[in-house]
Amino acid sequence: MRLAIDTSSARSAVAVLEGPKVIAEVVKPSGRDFEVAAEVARLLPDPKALDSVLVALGPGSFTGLRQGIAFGVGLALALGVPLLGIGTLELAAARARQAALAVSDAGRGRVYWLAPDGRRGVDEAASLPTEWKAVGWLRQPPAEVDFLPEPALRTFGEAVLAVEGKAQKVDYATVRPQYMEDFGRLV
Amino acid sequence: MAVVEDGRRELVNLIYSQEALHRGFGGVVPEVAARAHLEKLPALVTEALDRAGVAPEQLERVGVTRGPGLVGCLLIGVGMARGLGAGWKKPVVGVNHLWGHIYAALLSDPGLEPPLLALVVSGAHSDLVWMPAHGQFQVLGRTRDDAAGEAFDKAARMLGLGYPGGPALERLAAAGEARRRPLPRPSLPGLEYSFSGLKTALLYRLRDLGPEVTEQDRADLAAAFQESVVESLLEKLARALEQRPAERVVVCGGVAANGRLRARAAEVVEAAGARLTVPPLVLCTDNAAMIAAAAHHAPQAALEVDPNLGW
Repeated sequence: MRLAIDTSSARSAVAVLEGPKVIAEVVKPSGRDFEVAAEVARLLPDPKALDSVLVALGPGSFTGLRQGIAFGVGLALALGVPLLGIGTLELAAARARQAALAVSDAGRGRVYWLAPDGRRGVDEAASLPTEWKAVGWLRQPPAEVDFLPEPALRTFGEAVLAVEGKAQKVDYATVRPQYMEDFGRLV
Repeated sequence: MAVVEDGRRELVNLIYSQEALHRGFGGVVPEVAARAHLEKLPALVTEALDRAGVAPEQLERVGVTRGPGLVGCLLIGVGMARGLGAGWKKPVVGVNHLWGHIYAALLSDPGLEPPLLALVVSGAHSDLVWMPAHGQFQVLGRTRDDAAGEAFDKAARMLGLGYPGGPALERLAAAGEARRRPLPRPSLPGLEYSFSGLKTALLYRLRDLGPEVTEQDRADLAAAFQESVVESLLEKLARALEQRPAERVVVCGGVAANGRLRARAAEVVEAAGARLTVPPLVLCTDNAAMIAAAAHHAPQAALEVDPNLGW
């Protein structure tokens, strides 16, 4: 069984996967009401059944990102299973069944973005590339951004299944959350 | 990262000091600190268990500091403790860092039990605390402005010493004579402390001496500064002992590593007819064994990161 955790953006998600299937998943608004340990305990009564732990590495919110990653490291370490890391935007992009612009909050009205052609950056909502529809969890989705409708998207767990092959195995001691300064051009 | 048995016996107490990381900045940089925690903790967990020869199944609980402290660092610690707790299926207990400083004394003195009176002196706190029983803490007095450790750090900077300032100031003071360049002794009514006036006094003395200041002047001023801080701390401790006679007294926290404070505290507490415990140096400065000891005795409550937590 595999666990995936993404606490990097406006919504937080946890999914339990087995083989090619999503066994259980939960997506909730991030914040005080989302406690990753409690959600994992609810979805996964026996963590010892896990073979790996995947965490979203950001870019994303300072608080949420740290909580999720630190929890993932602790859990993988305790179980002695591999820890995998993947970018938040790569995960978001995998929710779309078509080429889409992945976005995530960067604070102060700006968004991180990743385009299907590999370009990425952090910009005001009004300056984002417009060739693609968007996918991603933002606190206040700006009017300028044309989002793919939610029902057309994969669930979080399905997106993990689609993209987990691209996840990198990370040493417990070298996990680096991605904050703004690590990400593309500086603002 | 530490492994402690029965809340009393330290099996392993590992410390990764970030001092070198922050020295160039003259103080702790929150972001740098949080990153280092995330990178250093995993290896410390493994090493602590290995060295203690303890398997995770043998653990009773996982204790972690929930505050006070830098929020980014606390989030890493609590997050990782929760992950470890989930993987090992052990309860995770959040501990107030300040409680930990008192429990450091219980680790170093197996016969020590509350009720006790504690002087907790660190970079952020100068608190006189009455501890009637395990997990109960009543603050009798605290500082109105700077904490003792903060005052030492700032004075050290004025004297051109490096970071961390406490040990550097103590070394310089050893070559000085407090009486030659006396500084005022802070005196507030009751059990409150204040060190900002003393700091200003040092600033003015240095300004008055100007570029002519000699190495001996600096050493004398360091000694005078240390003297004033130590005597002020102990004056209130003695007063607290009069108000609340206790048989056992603890002086703890990072500043309790100061040799002058340790020596004078022994005299003051003995004169009051009480018995003093000062943890060994390694348990005075921040460490995980004290948190494990406190966690053993702490009630299991909701675990929330609280950077602004008092007692």
